[in-house]
Formats: sequence, C-alpha cells, structure tokens
Amino acid sequence: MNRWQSFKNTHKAGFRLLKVVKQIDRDLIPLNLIDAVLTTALPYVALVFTAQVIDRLLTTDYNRAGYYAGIMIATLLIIGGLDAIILYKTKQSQRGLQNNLEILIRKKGMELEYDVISDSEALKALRNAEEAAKFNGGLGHLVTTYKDLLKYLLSAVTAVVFSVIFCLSVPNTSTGILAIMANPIVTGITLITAWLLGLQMSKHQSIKIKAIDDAIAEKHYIVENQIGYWIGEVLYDTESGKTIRVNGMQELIDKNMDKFIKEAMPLYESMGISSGKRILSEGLESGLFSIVTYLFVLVKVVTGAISIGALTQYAGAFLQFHQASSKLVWSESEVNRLTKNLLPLADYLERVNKRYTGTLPIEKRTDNIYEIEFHDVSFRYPGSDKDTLHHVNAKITLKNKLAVVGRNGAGKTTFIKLLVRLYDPTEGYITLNGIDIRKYNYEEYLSLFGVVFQDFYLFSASIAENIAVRKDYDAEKVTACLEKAGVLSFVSTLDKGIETVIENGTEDAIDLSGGQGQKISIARALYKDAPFVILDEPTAALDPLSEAEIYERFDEMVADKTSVYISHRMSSCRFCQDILVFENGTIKERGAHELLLKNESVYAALWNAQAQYYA
Amino acid sequence: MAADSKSSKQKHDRKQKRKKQSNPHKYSVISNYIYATKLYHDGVGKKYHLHDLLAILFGVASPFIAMAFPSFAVAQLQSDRAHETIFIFIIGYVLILKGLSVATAYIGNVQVMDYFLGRITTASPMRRHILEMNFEALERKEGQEKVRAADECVFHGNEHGIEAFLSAFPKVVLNVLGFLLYSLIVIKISPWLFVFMFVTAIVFSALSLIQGNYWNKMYKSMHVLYMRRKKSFHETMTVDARGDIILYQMKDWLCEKLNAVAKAYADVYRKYFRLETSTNLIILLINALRDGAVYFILIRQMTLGQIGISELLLMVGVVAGYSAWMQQLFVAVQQIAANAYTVSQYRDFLAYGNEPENSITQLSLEKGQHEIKLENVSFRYDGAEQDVLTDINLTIRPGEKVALVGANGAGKTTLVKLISGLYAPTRGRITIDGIDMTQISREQYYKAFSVVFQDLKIYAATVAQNVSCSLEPDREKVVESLKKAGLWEKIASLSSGIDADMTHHLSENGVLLSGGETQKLMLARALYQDAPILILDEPTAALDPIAESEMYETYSTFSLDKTSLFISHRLSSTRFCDRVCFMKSGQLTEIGTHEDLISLSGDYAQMFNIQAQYYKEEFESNREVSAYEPLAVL
Repeated sequence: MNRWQSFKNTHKAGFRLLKVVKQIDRDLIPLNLIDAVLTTALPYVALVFTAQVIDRLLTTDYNRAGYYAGIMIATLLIIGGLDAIILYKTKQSQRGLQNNLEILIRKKGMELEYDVISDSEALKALRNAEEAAKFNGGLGHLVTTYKDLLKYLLSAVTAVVFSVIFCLSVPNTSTGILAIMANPIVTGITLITAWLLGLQMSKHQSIKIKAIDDAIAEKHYIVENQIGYWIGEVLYDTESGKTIRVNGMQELIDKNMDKFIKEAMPLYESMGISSGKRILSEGLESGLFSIVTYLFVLVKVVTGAISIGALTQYAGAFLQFHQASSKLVWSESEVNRLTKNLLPLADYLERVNKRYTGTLPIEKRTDNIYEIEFHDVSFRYPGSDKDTLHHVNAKITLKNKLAVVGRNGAGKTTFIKLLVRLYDPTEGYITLNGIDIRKYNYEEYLSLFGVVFQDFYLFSASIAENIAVRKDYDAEKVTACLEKAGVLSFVSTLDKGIETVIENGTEDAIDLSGGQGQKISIARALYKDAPFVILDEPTAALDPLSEAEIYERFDEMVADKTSVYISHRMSSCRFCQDILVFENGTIKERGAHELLLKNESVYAALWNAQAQYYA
Repeated sequence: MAADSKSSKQKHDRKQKRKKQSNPHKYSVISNYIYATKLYHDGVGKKYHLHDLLAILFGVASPFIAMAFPSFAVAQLQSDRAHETIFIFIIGYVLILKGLSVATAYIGNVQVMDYFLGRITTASPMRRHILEMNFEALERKEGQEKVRAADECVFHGNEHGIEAFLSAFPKVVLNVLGFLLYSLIVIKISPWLFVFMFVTAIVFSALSLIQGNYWNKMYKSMHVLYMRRKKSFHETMTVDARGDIILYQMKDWLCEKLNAVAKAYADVYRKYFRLETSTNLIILLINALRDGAVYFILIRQMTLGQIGISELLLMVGVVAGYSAWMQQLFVAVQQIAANAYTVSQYRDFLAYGNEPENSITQLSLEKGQHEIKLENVSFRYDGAEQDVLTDINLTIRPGEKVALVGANGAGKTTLVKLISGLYAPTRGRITIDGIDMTQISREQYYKAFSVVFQDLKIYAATVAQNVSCSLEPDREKVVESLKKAGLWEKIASLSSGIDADMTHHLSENGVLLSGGETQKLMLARALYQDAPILILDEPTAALDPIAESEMYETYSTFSLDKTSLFISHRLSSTRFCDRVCFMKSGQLTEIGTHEDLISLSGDYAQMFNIQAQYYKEEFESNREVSAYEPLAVL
C-alpha cells in the first residue's frame, strides 16, 4: 500500500511537470512517444529476421535467405530513417524547452515582490526552482526518463511475448533429462523463478546504490557550489586581483580552494566506487541470468523444440528482457528522484504573488497634481525585531523639492521604498490624493515615479534602449533626456551614439564610468516623464564638478514635478525648500535649511560635520 | 611624420616582444602529449598507465568475442560433438563474454576517475598563476583571453580540453588494433570485400569528421552568445537591478532580450542538428546498401560452397562492426586535433605574465617611514593610443600625507595602481627610498602597502580571515583592529564572533555588512596590516557626514607615522593632508598645501569653491554656480 502510494505520488507529480512541458512545447511529448516505439522495435526486427536467414541458410534455401535479408535491411533502414528525423525535431524541442523554461522562471521572478531579494522564502523558492531546472538535466531529463521508462516497458512486454512463444515450443523427443527441461511448464517455471530472483537481486542492489548516489549527489551539489564560488567569483574576478596582491591573500585564497577540493576528492572517489560496485553487481546478476537462459535455449535447440537460427533470436530477446527489466526499475526510481528534485519548480511556477493589487486606475493629470501622505506608517523587515520606520507621518506637498537626510540606517531609503510601493507598510497606510495606494492598480501607481537608485543598474543593451526601457524608443526624446542629464556631450563622441551597446561582452560594447552610468540612469528617469522624481544619492560617484553640474541642472530636470532628493552631501539641501531629517526610523525635524540650523539638533550636527572642512 | 614613424615602430617592437613572450602555436602535439602525460603521471600516479593498457586490451577483445558468438554457437550446434560438450563450450563462451564486458565497463569507470583526478590536478598550477602573475598582464584583454583559454582547457568538462586530449590517445591505439584485427579476418575470407569495406569505412569517417569539425567551430563561435546569455540572465534577478526592473516595468523588455538570445542559440543548434541528421541518414543508407551487398556476396559464396554458415555469420558480424573501428579512430584523432590547442593555450598561459626575477629580494620596507619618488612617470595601457598618465613627477616625503584630487577620469586610480606596484611605468621610474621599484620583488613590495580600493572585496571566509587576509590570523590583533575601526560592537554581537562566516555565498547565515560597515572592515584590514605606506581610494563615498568625519579622524591618527596618499571627491579630506596634488587629464598640474593652491586660484581652487559655496552662510541661490565653466568633466 505504502509503495503504491509513493508510486502514485511520484507519477502525479511527474504528470504535473509534464504539463509544464506541454505548456512550453506541445510537440515534445508526442515526439518522444514515437521515438520510444521506433527504438524498441529496432533490435527485435533484427533478431527475428536474422533467425529466419540463418534457418533458411541451414536448410540451403538460399533464395529465401536472401529475401529475408533484404526485407530486414529495408525495414531497418525505414525505421532508422524515421527515427533520425524524429530525433532531429526532438533535439531542437529539447533545447528550446530548457531555454524557455529558464526564461519562464526569470519572467516569473521579475513579477515577484521586491523584497524577495532580502532572502525571504520567495527568493529561496526562485533559487530552488532555478537549481531544479538546471541540475541533473532539468525538465528535459524528466521527459527523456519517462521516454526510457516507456521504451523499457514496451521492450519488456515484447520480450515476454517472445518468452511465452519460446516456452510453449515442444521438444521432438520425450525422453531424457533434456526433454524434461524442454517441457513448456518446466521451462516456464524455471525462467520465471530465475527472473524473479534476478529482479530481487537487482532491486535490492539498485535501492542500496541509489541511496548512496542520492546522498552523494546532495553533497556533490554543495561542494560544486563552494568550488564554483572560489573559482568563479574570486579567482576569475580581476578586480579582486588587486586586493589579493596588495594584501598578500594568495595563501588564503589558494588554501581555501585546496581545502574544498580536498574535501571533494573522497566524494568523487566514492562516486567512482559506487558506480564500480554497480557495474560488478549488475554484471554478476546478468551473468547468472544469462547462464540459465542460454542453458534453456540450448536445451530447446538440441531437443528440436526450436531451430538453430532461433537460438540467437531467443537468446537476444532474453537479453533484451533482462536489460529492459533492470533498467525499468532504475528509470522508475530515477523518475521518483527527478520529480522530487523538480517539484520546487512546479510549485514556483504556480506561485501567486503576495502583493495586493487594487483595481483603481490613476487619474491622468496634465497639471501633475498629486499628493501623497504617510499616515502613522511603521515598517519592519521580516525577521527583524525592531522597526526600521516608526510611526512616520508626512505629507509630500505638491511640486515641492524635498530633501531627505539622516545618518546611515536612519530609514531614508526605506521611506522611499514605501513611497514607491516596493514595500507595503507593516502598520499605518499611505494615501495618494486621499485614497490608500494599495487600492490603485499597481503598475499604474508605479508609473508615477521616476527613480534613480543609489545602486542603479544599466542593462546589456544600447544606451537608447536603456533609457527608454523598450526596443522601440523615441530617439529625439532620448537625446533630449541625455542632454538634460548632462551626458549628451559624452554620448555624441561615441561612434554609434545612442545606439552604443553597454557592456555585454561583445567587442564593440563600452564600459561606462560610475559617473557616466549615473547620468544615464538619470536620463532614464527623465524619459519616463513621471510626476514624481526621486534621486537617491545621485552624486556619490561623481567628482565635485559633475556634482555641481547635477545640482545646477536639478531645477530644470524637476521643473513642474514633485521631487525627493536623498544625499549624504549636505550641500544638496541648499536648493530644497523642505528638508526631512530622519533619525532612528522617525522624522526628527522638518523645515527649511536656516530653520533647521537654528534648531541646533540632528540636522545642524550633520551639516557642521561636513561644513567645518570648508569654513 | 617622424614622431609617427617612431610611435609605429614602438608599437611594432612591443608586438614583437609580446610574440616572443607568448605563442601558443609553438607547442607540438607530441610535446603536448608528453607534457600532459607528465602532469597526469604526477597527479594520478603510475597506475593510470596500467589502466590505459587494460582498457585497450579489453576494448579490443570484448566486441570481438561478442561479435563472434553467433558464428561460434551455430558452429558448435552443427558439429557432431556430445551435447554436454557443446553446452560447456557455449556456456563457457557466454561466461567469458560477460566477464569481458564487465571488465571493460569496470576499467572504463576507473579511467573516468583517473582522468578526472588528473584534470583537477592541472587546475592547481593555473590557480597559482592567476594569483601570482603580473597584475597588469592579467588585467589586460590579452590576459583575460588567456585565462579564459586556460579555463577552457581545464574546467569545460571531460569532453573538452586536456582530459579529452589525453584520453583520446589510448582510444587511437585501441581502434587501430581493432581495425587491423577485423581487416585480417575480412581479407582472409574475401579480399574483394575488404576493398569495398575499406572504402565505406573511409566515407563514414569523412562524414563524422565533417560533423565533428562543424561542432568544434560552432562551439567556439558560441562563446559570444554564451556571454550575452549569461549577462542577460544575470541582470534579470540581480539585487541592484531589482528596484529598477519593478519601477520601470522592464519585465517585457528584458524577456524580449532573453528570447532573442534563446532564438540565436536555437538557430545555431538547428543548423548543427540538420547537418547531424543528414549525415546520419546518409550513413544509414550506405549501411543498408553495404549490408545488402555483403549478404549477396556471402550467400553467393555459400551457394558455391566456398564458405560455411559459421564463416558467413562471422563475416556478417565483422562487417557490422568494421566501420565502427575506423569511425572511432577518426573521432579519437579528431579529439586530439581539436583539443591539442587548448593544452597549448594552457601552457602558454602559464608562461605568460610572470613577474620578472628581481636582483633585490630583501628590502626592509617593513617598518619606518619611506620616501616615494616618481620621476617622469608615464603610463599607457597595452595597445592604447595615448598615455593615461604623462610625465608625473612627485616626491612623497617620509611620513607625509598627500591628497590626490581631480575630476573623474583624470588618472588618479591609475596612479594608485602604479605606486602600489600593480602596474609598472611605461616610461620613467618610481623609487622607494632611492631603489627602483622594478628591482624589488612584488611580494616584498606589496608588503609595504595598505591599500583600500574603491571596490571593496569581502570574501566567503571568516571575519578574522577577512581582516587579517591570512589563514591563521593573530586573533588578538584582529579584535584590536576591529575595535579601532569601530566595528567591534557589531562583530562581538555575533554568536561566533570573529569566527563568523561572511557573505551569503557559501553560508546561509553569513554576516552581511552595510556599505558603512564594509568601509570599516576595510579600515580594520589596513589597521591589522599596519604597513608603512597607506593608500585610500575614496574611502568615504558611502558614509553619512558624521561617520565620514569620524573616518577622517581615525585615518588621521592611524597615519601619523606613515607615508600616506588619500583620494577623495570630498575636497574636505585635503584639510588634514600636508600637501594636495591636483590631477587633470593624466597630468599633475598643481602641487602644494591647501592654502597654496587656494591662493593660486587654479583648477583646485575652483573645484574647492564650487563644493564649498554650498556650505557658506551667504549661499542663496544657485545662480553663482551657473557661472562656472565645465572643465574636462568625465
């Protein structure tokens, strides 16, 4: 019962995964079915006709022999040819499957909540899904394993038909020990017993070895991950080369790699030993089975129950049967293992996003009159024991230039992430024109903001595509935004101008400096032309001149819009009328620069820390 | 004109020099075989030759015995021997057959381990070389390409690189032997047939050769696609891009990009699969024709009484297996040809970019104060059109603190790389206490420096190892450095303290540090090393004003007895330095104290004032700012 249950569960999961396959590529499963039938047929065709040819030759019926040989050759050619064409299609589909699956996972990943990255359960789900998709051949391997399962099943059934015919053959003589052995019932019982014994043996062995293999596979994954890190992320990271040399870290890095490789060695050895054992035990078992079957085939031949030519036919069929039945057991357990490994993938693809999305559309206003207010908002990161933001109340007034300052970890960036709804408040709520922002359609709400994050990111595409974030961009608008962001003069010096590709490993791609990248990401925000512009530390990587240039252009960039400016450079506060000062997750002070200086509190301390050097 | 021809001659000279240094084509296949065998011999041990030998023996015998079985069995059954004898012969034959096939599989399995072990061994010298070779050589495009090529030799699986190269040699021997054996049998029965067989075998081999060549070509051409794919996938889920992707709703655009790469891949593969399928179909057809002819000839011979049934069966078996030997022989030869070059590239990489042998290996740079002198130093990247740095002259006096400022791209970071010994000057020289830096061994030279680079690297090792940069840290000193750097409170709060693993790469619970904390860890690293020369490249970019101010003070006390160089965009940092160097377009244009340079009213003063104006009481609007003329920005 228990075994039946596990069998049922395995294939339920298996079929669930095959549905994903079907969803990605409709043809792949039928193609594999045809391949299974054709490849099963091949050896039996050869066996049957060869037997006929031999028998005709023995009876000197040469014409007949030639005739059978001809049919055999033609049949094999047709089956083989068909299968080659089927394989051509299958291989393409199989490759497509892997690619499309990986894209599907990433697409889903991009739809997930922002905070999955903070190592939450969703990110783990994504990682597990990706690993499942890549490791062990992924979903494609499940398809082939199912195909094998079917193939061996077909082969075993065919072989059983041959065995029954073989057993039923009656000897010419009825005396002597050989005649008794050739008796259909005796032959049948002995062969079934031998097969069952062999099956028991191979099953026992295969379960044992499988358990070892699975344990090794798990450790293997960890070890590969470790070695992969030290080689891929450290050794091949050229930038690390500086740190390693100047700090004399060679020993540390090298020994760490050595350590992991030394730890891995016994594992690889045990993998070798395990497969060696499997070869020996399978060899022993198949050897015993062969002796019994050959013995009986010989008995049948010498007693005249079957012809000499049939010797190779039946011996071959038994060999096929033996292979098929032991591989059947193996494929079944392989399907079991694969479905277990792949289950996170199915779970992940069926996952529902936790973020609540409303249906209200955002009123499109040409005058950009939008007002956002925080109502007693608190936010706590999952797993943390204290609030990052604590009962924050703030109104973001229209067309205002707002600066947000505070020490590292005071909650500035979290405030922004709540504002643009990358996070939802743990307590309290945020309203847009008086309505809770969660009630708006999410994508429409996002369209209100043009944000330049501190850790902005540019993608491996042309500059223009990076700015417009689509393939069909408005070249004029791109140029205008580059101009506003103060980077057009640089882009025009490039041979391909706005079509220059940013670092993607190809020859003509360029690497941008931090400052250039930052300006291009500002242009991206401008291209979006959203009513709110948010700049999070936009000048951290810039030299004083470029910084001053951004300050200078700031007015022009955010004209007509509401803007929020976060910076550690206190100088940025000078051109914002309104300054929010954060400390320990709360808004400590708010007001204009002069007023805050007079307060001689948090703001004044921050200001003076920097201003003293310029006094 | 004269200058032109001179520079082109220089370029030519440099090219010549590089050619002499490294040329992967100079290694022959034989020399690669000897080289690789020696590597494996050292890594795996003598036993691996024995395993090769056994594999050859079993590899020839096993298919032969299997092929001859029907012929043997029919011959026995036709004979007038006693049933018992026939039984013993045939069952005995089956046993030998089984035994051989198990032995072949078993030895094959042992060989997989041998070759794997050998391949892993070859990774070791490569690793060491990457860690120890000249940095500039490693960093340049040529070096990166060589690393990639060496990686291809070692890490691209067992069907590629050194393992594929070396494991093909026993296969050649095996298949030559098998081919000879089968040829002898065919010739004995029908010389005619031999000619026919030989020709079809050649055709098959040629076809698989074409297919293999195409695969290799394709494999190489796919590298660019692979890089594009890797990057495109990476960026969809990278932490830094996450906010941008959501806020700019880039999902569809990025998926479109992924699909484009996938399609490019599919196109390449479809072409290959098409070739493969047509080859297979041709082989099938030729096979059918050949088998038809063979049956025809053999049955005819039988009708004429020239051969018996067991000869016929043997021949059918030989024919079926014949072309396989030659095909596999070609595959093996091709495997050697295709992978010999990767071994050459591996050797070439190991010979490339070695640090020069130095006459002075011991230099007491360990303690005390040192003078660094740059004399007409220029630097140009390999193959670049113009200098990054031109004629830099600077003497940093013992114990002096120098601030290095200038616009982005002025060459500050390159200068740091030169002074810290990562690069050597293209022209001019750098001396430490009067000794030319190129005469000091790199290891000794680096020991004199604590450098905090812009890209802050933390590795998946313990806190103590990350601070000390060594395997066996001085634990007290680690704690002390962390305390001074202001990071002790954070580390002490961890359950495993300084033994806690860092980053999430290898440990789920690894310590993650914020930007400010990472800066502090770098400071702790510098404090631990306590080297006599300190270089800081933008150490305060991620810090809030108060933390920044504190960091200045810590460094200021820490560098009291050291020679030090600060690079920062915050010009305020220049206030606690003895002298300021202003760089512009690869040249040192202004040197002097802060006050000197302010009264000079040059570029430095302008830059300082632009930043300072915002902090002045009288700042009212940004109209003043508009008055400034952009310098060579970016």
